[in-house]
Amino acid sequence: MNKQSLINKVYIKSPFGKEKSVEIFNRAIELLRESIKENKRVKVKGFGKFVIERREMKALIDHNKKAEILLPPKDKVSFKPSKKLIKRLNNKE
Amino acid sequence: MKKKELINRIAVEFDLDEIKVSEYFDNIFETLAVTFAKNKNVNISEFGKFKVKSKLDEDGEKQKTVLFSPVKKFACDVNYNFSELTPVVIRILDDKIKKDIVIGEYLDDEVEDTILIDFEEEGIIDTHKSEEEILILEETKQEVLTEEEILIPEEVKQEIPSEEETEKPEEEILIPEEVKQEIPSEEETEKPEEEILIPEETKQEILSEEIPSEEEEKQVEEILIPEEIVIEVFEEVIPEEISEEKKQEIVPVEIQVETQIKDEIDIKEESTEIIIEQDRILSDLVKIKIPEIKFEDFEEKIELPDVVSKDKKIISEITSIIKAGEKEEDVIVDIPEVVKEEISSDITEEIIEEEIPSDISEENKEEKILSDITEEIIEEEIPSDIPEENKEEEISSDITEVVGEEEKVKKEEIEKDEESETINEEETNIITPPDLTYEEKKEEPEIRKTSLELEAELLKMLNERKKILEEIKKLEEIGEDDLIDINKAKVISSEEEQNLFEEDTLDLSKQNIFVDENGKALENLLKDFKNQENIQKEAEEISEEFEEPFKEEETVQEIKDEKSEEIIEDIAEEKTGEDIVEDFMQKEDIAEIKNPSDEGTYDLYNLFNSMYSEHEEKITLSEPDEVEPQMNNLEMKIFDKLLDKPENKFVNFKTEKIKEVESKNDALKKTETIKTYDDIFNLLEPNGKKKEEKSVKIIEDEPPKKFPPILKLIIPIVILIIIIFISVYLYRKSVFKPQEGNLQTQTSDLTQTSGSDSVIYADTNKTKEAIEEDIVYDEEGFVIKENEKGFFVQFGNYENQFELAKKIKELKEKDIFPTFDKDTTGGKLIYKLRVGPYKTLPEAKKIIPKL
Repeated sequence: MNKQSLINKVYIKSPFGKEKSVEIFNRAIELLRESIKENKRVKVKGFGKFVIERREMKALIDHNKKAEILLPPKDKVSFKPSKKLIKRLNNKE
Repeated sequence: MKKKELINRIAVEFDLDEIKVSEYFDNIFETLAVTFAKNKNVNISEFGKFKVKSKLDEDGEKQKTVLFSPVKKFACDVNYNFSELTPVVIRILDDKIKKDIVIGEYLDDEVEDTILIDFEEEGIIDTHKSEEEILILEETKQEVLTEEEILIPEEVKQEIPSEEETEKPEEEILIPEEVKQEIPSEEETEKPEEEILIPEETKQEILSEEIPSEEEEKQVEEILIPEEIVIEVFEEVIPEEISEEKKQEIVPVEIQVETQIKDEIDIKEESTEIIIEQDRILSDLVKIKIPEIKFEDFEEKIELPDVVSKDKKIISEITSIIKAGEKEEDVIVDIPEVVKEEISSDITEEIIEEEIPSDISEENKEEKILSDITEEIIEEEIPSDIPEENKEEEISSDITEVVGEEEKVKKEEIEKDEESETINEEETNIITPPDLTYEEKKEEPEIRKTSLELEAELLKMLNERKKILEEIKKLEEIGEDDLIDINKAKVISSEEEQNLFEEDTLDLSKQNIFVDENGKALENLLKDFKNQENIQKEAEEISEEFEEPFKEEETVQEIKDEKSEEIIEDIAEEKTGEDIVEDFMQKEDIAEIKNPSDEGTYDLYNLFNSMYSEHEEKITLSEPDEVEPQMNNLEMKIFDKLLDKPENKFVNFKTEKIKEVESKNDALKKTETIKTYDDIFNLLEPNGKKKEEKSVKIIEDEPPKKFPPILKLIIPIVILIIIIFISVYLYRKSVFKPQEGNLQTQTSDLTQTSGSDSVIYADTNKTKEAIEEDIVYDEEGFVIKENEKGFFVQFGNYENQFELAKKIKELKEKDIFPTFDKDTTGGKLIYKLRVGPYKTLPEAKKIIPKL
């Protein structure tokens, strides 16, 4: 599913027009990105939460290069679905 | 941030009600949840991708979850703290390491240990262990060997040589072994003399009967005669010679071992083994010193100093002959020459002087009947010789002193003549058979008549020596390297003897064994060259002196007897030059070696050879085990493991290869594995035969897999054709669906098959009949036509088939199932879309409001 198809499905049921709904959707995504960067946590009830996890320094063996490599730390965005959503996905409601 | 905050901010920015915005967002998230429930992924641009995946729960059940992977821009923005950092290569690893090593934050010491363990398991530790183990083994072996070897010379030594000489002829060796056991027994110095005398007496009786039979054989064969001359030399020396000969026999066997060892040592470290051997020799010699005094006493009683040097020279001559590659006959003949030289003070010289004139007289008288005369001469001369030699044997040592210097000079000259003649005889038997027989056979009976008893013993000794020579020849056949080693060993032995007496110089002597071989050998060579120059001058002078008297004799004898003298002259003239030089060489060597120091070293020399030989043999047995662990590489270790039982394991490899080839599942794996096995095979067997076989097998197995090229073309074509038929069939089904209600009536009238196709064909048949139709009703764009079958509602005429199909779909949605007819009235195909037939007009008009 694309963003466009999602908006097409949503705007029919919403009181806004298609253009405005797209604007609202894009703005909402911008806000989400900013908030995730700053606060490092965004929680949507009944859907899940976006969290930043830090992968710490790691030493690995690269078989292609035949060398031992040290990877630097890294901050990663991860989505943790809520229990409701998981139940819905597994048809346990 | 929560959903509420998001909604508030958006409501403020866009001036909207929060409720509407919240509804909007609820809708969005719901739709997302619904899509996730359908296992569909959602890709939101500039934000990320949601993926639905199934994972195992804690209980072990599968559970669907949603994973989010952000867009690159978003991920980089999030990772702004560490964006500048890049992965770093800590170190490059070997190919051997194949384990994944995952480490925490930083490389701890424990991790390094684990990495090293991987190295050590694969081979580093083994190398360290191997070196340590080698040292331990060496130490243990040294201890063991020293302990064993110390005991051997005193008590066990008598048994060991018998075991070593199992290969040699047992019958011959049994006699000397008994003697040998007696001699080395250091405590029993007096016994050997008694024991030696006993066999002489016993054997005299036994052999007195056997001798004549042997004499007859020797008269027939000229070559055997000189062997008897040797008997005189060894009469007195019997016991010691045997011991020496055995040890000399053992020498070549030992030297082979040395060569093998040295080859291995060159690969390894020479220093370690030399030190080991030095220590062993020291330990042995410290304990050997005591018997030296006893042996000296023993020698004084027996009075056999010359024998040592003589035996050594004989061996040197044998080795020289072996190198030259001469035949067995030459070897046997050369021995007496040496013996003659050695007998400088013996009686034979005097006898020859007396006998020569008598021989000449006989020869002059009987020229033609040579063979008959020889027998008579032997019979006549035997009695005269016996008393002389018996007396001389009794006064063996006294005679040398009594004989004057002038007499010795004359004897030497006579010996030279005899030697030259004998040499000529040996080399030119064909030219002068008769004369040689005279001279040689005259010498033989002299020896036999003197002491038959001793002769019998000596004959046995000679037989033994012949067999020994045969053994040496067998060794010669094995390889030339063995012969070279024999000479080296002798050089070492002669040099070591002097050094071994002195305790202080023990170390130097041992070092010389390995280090100074070449240096001393060069010294000997220089001495030989100097001697050759002097000898050549002397030989020229002597040749001139001899030539003159012969010439005088020729003038005198030419008148009386020409033939016999000419032969003698030819022999003398031809071989005075070169052969006499060799004879002088041998004599001078004897004189040099007859020094008193050599006499004393005799016993030690024997002991040293015996002891040193035993050490070397034991070392060789232990070393090959030590060689293997030094190989560090894994490949070599595998190779060594394979070598432990090469036959069984390589057979298994062959079977495995064949199985792999038969499996035909993974072609790449086969090739890789086979290459590795091939490498191992190449190391062992450089012949590339096996490679070829394997390659052939693989090639033979592959071709049946391939499909013929024709099938490759036919199969897709057939599939395409089938797909086209199916697609056409489905398209027709979808486009031309039958009319369910009214068509059944229609189809019942028609005798065609049921289904959509029947309708089409029914209509086509109608067109051919050219049914007449009349317009009954025409209002609001709808036309109702009357026909023989009833009333039809016509929607329109269509030239394009797709437009017709669209119209049919629209009508189907309105629960109207139309049909169409084809018309070719205007020269064009026109499809008439209509519904019917209806029996009456009002029934037909009921459809119009539906449209």
